[in-house]
Amino acid sequence: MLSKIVAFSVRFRGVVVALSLLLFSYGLYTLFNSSLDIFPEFAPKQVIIQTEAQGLTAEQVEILVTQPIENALGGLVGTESIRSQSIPSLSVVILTFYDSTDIYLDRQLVSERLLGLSQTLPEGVGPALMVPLESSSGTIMTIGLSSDQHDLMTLRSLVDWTLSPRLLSVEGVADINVFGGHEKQLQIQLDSDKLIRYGISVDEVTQAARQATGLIGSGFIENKNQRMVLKLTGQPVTATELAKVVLQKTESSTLYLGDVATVKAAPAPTIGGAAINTKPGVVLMVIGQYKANTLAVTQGIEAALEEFKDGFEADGITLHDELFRPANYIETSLSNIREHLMVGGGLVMLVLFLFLFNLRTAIISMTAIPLSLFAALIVLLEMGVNINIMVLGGLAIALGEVVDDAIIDTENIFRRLRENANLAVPKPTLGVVFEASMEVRSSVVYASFIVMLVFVPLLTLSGVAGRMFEPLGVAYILAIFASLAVALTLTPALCHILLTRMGDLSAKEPPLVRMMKPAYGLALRGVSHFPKLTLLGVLGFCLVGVGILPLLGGSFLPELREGHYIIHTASVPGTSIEESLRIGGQIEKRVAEIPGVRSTSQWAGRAERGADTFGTHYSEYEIDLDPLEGAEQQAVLDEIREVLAAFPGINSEVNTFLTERIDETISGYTSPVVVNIYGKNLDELDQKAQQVAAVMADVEGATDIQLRAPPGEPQLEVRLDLDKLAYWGLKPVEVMQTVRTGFEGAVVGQVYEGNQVFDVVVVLPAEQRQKPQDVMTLPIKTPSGAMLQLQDIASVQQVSGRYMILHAGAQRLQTVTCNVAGRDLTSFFAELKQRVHAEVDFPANIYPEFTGAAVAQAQSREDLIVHSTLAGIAVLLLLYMALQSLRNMLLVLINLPFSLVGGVIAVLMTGGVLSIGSLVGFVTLFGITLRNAIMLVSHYQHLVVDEGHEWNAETAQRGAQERLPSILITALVTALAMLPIALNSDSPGREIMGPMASIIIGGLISSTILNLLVLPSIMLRYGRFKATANPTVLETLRR
Amino acid sequence: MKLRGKLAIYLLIVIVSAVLLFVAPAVSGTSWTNMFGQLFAEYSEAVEAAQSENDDDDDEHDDDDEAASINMMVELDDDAEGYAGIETSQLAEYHYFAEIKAQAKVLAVTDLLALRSQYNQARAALNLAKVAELSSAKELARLTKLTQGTSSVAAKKVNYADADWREQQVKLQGAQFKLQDVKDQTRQQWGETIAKWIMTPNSKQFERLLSRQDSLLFVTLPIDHSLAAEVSFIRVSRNGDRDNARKAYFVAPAMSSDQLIQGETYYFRAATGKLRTGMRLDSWIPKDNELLTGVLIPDEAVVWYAGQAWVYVELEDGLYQRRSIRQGVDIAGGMFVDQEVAVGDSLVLSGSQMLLSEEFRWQIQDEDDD
Repeated sequence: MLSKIVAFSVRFRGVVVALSLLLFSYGLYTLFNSSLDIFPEFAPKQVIIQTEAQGLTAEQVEILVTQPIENALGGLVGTESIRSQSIPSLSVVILTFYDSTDIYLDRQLVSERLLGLSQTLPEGVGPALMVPLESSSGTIMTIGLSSDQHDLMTLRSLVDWTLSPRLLSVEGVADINVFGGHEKQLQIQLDSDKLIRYGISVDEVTQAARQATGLIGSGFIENKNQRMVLKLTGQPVTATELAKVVLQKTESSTLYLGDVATVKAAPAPTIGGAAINTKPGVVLMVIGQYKANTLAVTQGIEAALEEFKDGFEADGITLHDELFRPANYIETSLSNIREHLMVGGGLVMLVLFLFLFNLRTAIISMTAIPLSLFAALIVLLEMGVNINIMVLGGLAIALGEVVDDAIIDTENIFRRLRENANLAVPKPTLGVVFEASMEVRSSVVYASFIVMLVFVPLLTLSGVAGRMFEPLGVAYILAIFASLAVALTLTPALCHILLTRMGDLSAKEPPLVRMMKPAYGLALRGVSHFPKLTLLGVLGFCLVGVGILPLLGGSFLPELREGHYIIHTASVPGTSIEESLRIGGQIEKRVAEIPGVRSTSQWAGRAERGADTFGTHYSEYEIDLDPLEGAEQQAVLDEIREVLAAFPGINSEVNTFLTERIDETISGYTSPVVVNIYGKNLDELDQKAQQVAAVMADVEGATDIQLRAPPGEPQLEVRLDLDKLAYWGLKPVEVMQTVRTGFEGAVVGQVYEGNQVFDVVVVLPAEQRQKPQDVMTLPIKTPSGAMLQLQDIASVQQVSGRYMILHAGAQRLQTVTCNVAGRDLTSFFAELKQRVHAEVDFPANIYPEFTGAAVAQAQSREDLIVHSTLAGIAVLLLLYMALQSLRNMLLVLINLPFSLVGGVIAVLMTGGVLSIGSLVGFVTLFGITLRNAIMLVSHYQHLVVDEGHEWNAETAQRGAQERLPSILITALVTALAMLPIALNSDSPGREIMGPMASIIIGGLISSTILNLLVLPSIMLRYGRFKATANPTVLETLRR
Repeated sequence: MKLRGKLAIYLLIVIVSAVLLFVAPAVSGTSWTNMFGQLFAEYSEAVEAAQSENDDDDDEHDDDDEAASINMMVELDDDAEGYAGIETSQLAEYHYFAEIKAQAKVLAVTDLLALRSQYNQARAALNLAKVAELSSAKELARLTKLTQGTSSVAAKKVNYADADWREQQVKLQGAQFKLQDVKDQTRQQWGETIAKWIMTPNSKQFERLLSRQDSLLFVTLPIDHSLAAEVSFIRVSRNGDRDNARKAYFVAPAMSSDQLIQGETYYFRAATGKLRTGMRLDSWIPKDNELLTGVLIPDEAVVWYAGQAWVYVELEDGLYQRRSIRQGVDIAGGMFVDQEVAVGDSLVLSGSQMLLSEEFRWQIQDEDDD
């Protein structure tokens, strides 16, 4: 069939060229109309449900909110896991669905279950909201507002009612998370003393305010002619008007709201705060929709912001529109990759020209590059994959390879045409081109399939790594496949068009090849004299390389050079927003002094519907840098780390944004050993967890033992005295309601100012919500009219409560984690399990689960090994089919350790750290190496089987010399195409591909040297080629 | 495979082993035994460090409630000190009367006037009765004398006079009862002191009330609080302003309770000024008359931990100690403390929570690890 394709292409070369031009044009068109993004969607399919439950403790949130939600969502089809966190005032339930499910359907199912839930949640809680479906990389932009002329309440109102709605209308924006500022409320601030003085209860004030601010429709009047809607106006909408609402009327006097409370606009109790360049402000995080195009959305946002700029400036408001702009990284990366493609392409062209010494052959070979890459791009875009750094990475590492098939083909055709021209009676060129093309066909086809096959296990990686690298693998495989198609169709067609009409085909070989061949022959002969010594030396060399491999460090991803860092700090739970901002101010001040830092901003606590659901003790900082090179960015990072390490009272972490997002996406604890203890009673769970931790500490090798979610949140416990309540005739809920109104606030209605709606809230003034004493003196009115203070009917005590309650599979759990040092995980797990079961007594309702990242990784590793084995067997079968000899096939495999050594040396030279990118590099390298080895060995086979040469030193040398140009060109082309990335790998867009490129270049150098010098000697010594070897099969295959 | 092939492989293994054993150490400049030894030493150190860290953590945890009082120190190095932005202040002497806040009401004196009027009427009636009785008694005596001496008066008249005297006696007794009733009622309603004012003619205090020079205040203490015996005056204010509150002087315990607040009640009198009948006032009652000396801890310096309030005191540069102020008294603007913290101590005003966080750093979870 393949011969028919080649024959068709040579015969209908015009059609093939026309189709290629069409593909090229369409490729260009799609490239300019495609969306660009940073990373593929690497997050698992999750639906996150957040429920605000202001004023509730973690325990209350768990029982009253999280549990009903989990019950409602149990058993959904496609659910892989359900986890939850209950923290003060917030419930977060995370449903993870299998990757095979449709996320929109998943959300639909969740949404249906949530519909019936609103009745079961307590009053004032919720509603349970699904966090908008957002892209894995999440933030599209972070911007901020600050002002010296306006207060934080004005800024926040501006954001909530003007800026956010406008930004939300930009296509691709999923949500706006607003941090900081003061949310405006019309507050009726109770005066405890006056309530006592006038004998008014908190509830009476609440009722009066509710009746004053409620807004209800009034109906209409209708007669035979007209219908007129009744419109009731004159309700109190301002603080002054509200203060005039009657609270109590007696015969002699009238008591107004204003007599017992101060009515004024004031900030709502906050869940977060923000600062920009150490000054208080409002920070907005623009969240992108699932599969949104970061660049396009960024441009949309910027256009929207442009509309506001003049107004803000005139109003004395500073718009910080570049606190964080991920698009910068994409743009820089794309520019770098574009530069790489240009330089790489130029180098490829140069090599081709130098080796072929013929512009036409160089052009024929070069055509494979755009056509293969465009073909891969078109298929990817049709599959719905956005172009991102990983796709571009796949194409970039394929850049040097897609040209290989065409080079081999062109070089062979050119050589045969030259030989033909030198014949006394030249054959028809059509036949020569076909024959020459068919001659290398087997090596081209098998080699390409092998190169593709070695990539297949990469597509089966699980988790984030799988989702991240799948587009890279697919792009690479598609490009290689397309290059094969080009080599089988366009290359012979173009060769016939361009090469057969050349004038001096009888000319000698290209000068470079002519110069190299004798030198190579000499070297080869020298090496061939000591085959055993050479083999032993080389094998020893390889073993050294393999021996070094385990000594290399490992990381998931290399340091990304995004020009931006995110700092996290956490203090002990219970730290206030004010203190978090104060600490943050100090940190910002120090970090801003580091040269290269352009802007800093901070947010403490959380935002509504925000992805980060942390308490007020937690802060994140956006540190944006001037345009810096990779090494300079690293220097800034090191300085930031120094500052943070010296800072007291905080735990901190610095990451780039994308690393951060990937970390956040990896669900569950990342410690290698995790013991989950499931049960019902939290105290019992704590106790058992402590016992397990004690046993763990005693197991050899355990380090960094941590008890997760320990009690530590400072709480003020108000314990009602039921006897006293009974004496005074009070009901517990009345008291609780009063406490809630006083300290959390009771929303009694809304008022409108233009298009802005503000809550009217009854609450104590902020200065009376600061001390435990304020709680104790809260006025409580008894049914008989007596005024008490809370301390008269309840004891108030500061205690330490739980900050977070975790659930997995809708069950309570407490978790103990540790790292393992100095021994293998398997034996550690076995001993830990045995000792925990022996030494900790678990009642029937409590049970432990032994898991951890190590368990998950072991599973992934097992999967990878199985898939790699399968792919390896397929590769061996293909090799066997290509070489027709088990012995030769095994000898060809020797090239793999050859290449490994070079790759390992490259890793050592570039920092000694293996990442997933390195794995991809090695996989690519093995494919290329095998391809080169096949080319040599299959040529030997061709010489012996097809041309009838005897297998001896002369044939070995001739074959090697004939294959020298194509092997050298393909190796050089691949290596040089990678060179720009490898040389400047520590720069934006090249971080992931850099290690791959170094490994490929290193491996190619070692494997090509050994392939050219050692393999012929080995083949000569151990290889067997029979002139009669399966001619029928070969013939059949050729057809 | 032929024997020579196998031999070659064995030879290869030997050579590679030799390379690994000799070449690698030569390249790295250290022997394998040294490398293993070093690795083992590093590992042991790491394990020990981790264990000691855990031990420290456990200890800290266990000692929380026993008040870690032995230590409770936080030491910051120069860098940390520079970064922390901690602000301190030298504590100055502060004098304080322990007070409780209570509610007061300006009473109307009309009731007192009515009682005084009743009292006066009763007294007048009594005087009248006394006169009548005396007159009757005299008349009876005269008639009795005439009857006994001259028998010029009919016995009937004597009997009438006797009856009249007896009647007047009963009336007198009635007036006395009436007066006593008014007195009792007054005492019952207002207590002995104010009753005296009411019933003492030309009582200076009563006159001042009547002339509105003074106002009578009804002060209700919070539940479970009593007025100390030695308290002679309190301070009252119409608008909750303690600093400008005026004095009110003790009069007497009140007989009735407040319907709103069921605490002990007392009467005080204060110069009327702008007070008007029916006004409700804030009042500050000294717990005792003793003037306490200590320091005032501003609210922002206080952190709560393990059920009590704490402050940090800087002992020397970069060395801070956590001290309990559980005995402190909550007052306007902060806490009055006369133990644990002394005048001249360098109190951490800003950064206490950070120091607490540093002291209990082991409790900080890696939030992102979930």
